[in-house]
Amino acid sequence: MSIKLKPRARNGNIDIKLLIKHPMETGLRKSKGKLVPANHITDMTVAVNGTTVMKADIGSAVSKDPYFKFSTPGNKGDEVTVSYNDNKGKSGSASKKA
Amino acid sequence: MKKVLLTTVTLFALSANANFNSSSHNWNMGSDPFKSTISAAESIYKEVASVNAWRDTAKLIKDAKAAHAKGDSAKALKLAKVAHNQAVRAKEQIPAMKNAGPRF
Amino acid sequence: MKKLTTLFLGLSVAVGFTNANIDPQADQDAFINYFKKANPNVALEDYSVGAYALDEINRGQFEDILSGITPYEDAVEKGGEEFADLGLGKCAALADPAAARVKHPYFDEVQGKVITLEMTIAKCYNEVTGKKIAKNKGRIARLSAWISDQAAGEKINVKVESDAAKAAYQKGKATFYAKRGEFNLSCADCHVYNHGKKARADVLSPALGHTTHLPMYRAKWGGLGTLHRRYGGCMKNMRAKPYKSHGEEFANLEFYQARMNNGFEITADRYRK
Repeated sequence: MSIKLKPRARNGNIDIKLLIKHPMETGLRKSKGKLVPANHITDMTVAVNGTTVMKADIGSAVSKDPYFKFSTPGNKGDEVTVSYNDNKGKSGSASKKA
Repeated sequence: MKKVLLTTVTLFALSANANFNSSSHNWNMGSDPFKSTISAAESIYKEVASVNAWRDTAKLIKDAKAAHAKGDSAKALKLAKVAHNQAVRAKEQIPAMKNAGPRF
Repeated sequence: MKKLTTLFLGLSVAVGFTNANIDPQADQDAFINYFKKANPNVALEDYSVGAYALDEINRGQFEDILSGITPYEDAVEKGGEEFADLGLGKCAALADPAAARVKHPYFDEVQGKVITLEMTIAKCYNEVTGKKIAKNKGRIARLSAWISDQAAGEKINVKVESDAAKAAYQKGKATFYAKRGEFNLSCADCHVYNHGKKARADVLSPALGHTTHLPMYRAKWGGLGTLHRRYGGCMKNMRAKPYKSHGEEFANLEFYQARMNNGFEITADRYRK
């Protein structure tokens, strides 16, 4: 599943905008009479230059293709890495320099 | 002559009236209430469907027929009546739809 | 008595046939005035963002998403690739995508009906591939979104000129104001008379500005969808059986709604809750 990552350095902070393409199925929805199995991100980790700055528990309540926006201290040239795991054991990650 | 004419006209008007209100008077329930209700529902629904079909009427008709086929006559008649009522109310909405416009 | 009857009948026939009393500009002026009076502090251009013009809480999120990463940008990009790969520019009607967006919906005098952008796309797709395209979502929405993006910033300018066009416009207008379905609601009941109020957790959008951002991305759909897709979904919610997409009723309705938005800018900001 692809990740769109836009980190932007500004005044000692890195403003991060990211969108993870993921179906985020709750496991409670029915399609054509059958339950669609749960398929959602369980956790997400953000690191700057290899140091973890945020760990988030993401659950079935978050909607499809979630968009996140947050800030963390940092400077231009710092490398931001986002990675996630989902309940099916799949994972994804992306890196970009601010 | 005038009295006879008046009586005849009144009787005629009353019985004609009865036919037009068949939805609220069960004049024609007779021997097979399900059959008459479902066929009335279907014919009125067919009349209105292209202009103002309600969401559930077709399914209600289908379910009523299915219940009837299964022998559940109480459920069949209940659903048929709902379908019939929906079709009648849908038909009542139509005249105002043609030239609907803003209130301002 | 006979003379009076003939005169009356003659007059009613004349009124019915000349469409002389159909005045889209007067309708639009009254429409805009209604919303101006209801929301004196909302600028006219702001109606383009719909419910968000009246919903401060969600407007912040909306603007965040637009300035960040929109969930539909990939789909729109893909629409552009598909347009090129399929060679849809070969069809005269789509040779200039921006012009195509501005032209639709329009009344086609030869066919005697309103043509919407999606109808033109579907026709072109069929001519080029021999296949039918699904009418409400997926590829048609991507193509329509990409085509519409090319016209971002241009003004909506729907023409209602001939008698036949006016008749179609009038039908669309009647459809907008007609109470229908089990809930006995018209489009106007929510989007005019109760716009800005809540239906469960959602703010009812004002009808003014409805067609500036088509096709739209709805978070509810998790994807792009056309105006007729929204019409159908909404009609079902009102417990009325929807009319057909690309059919006469929805095309006429779109014609009326778009005419009410003449002068508004077409926007590429397609996000809605």
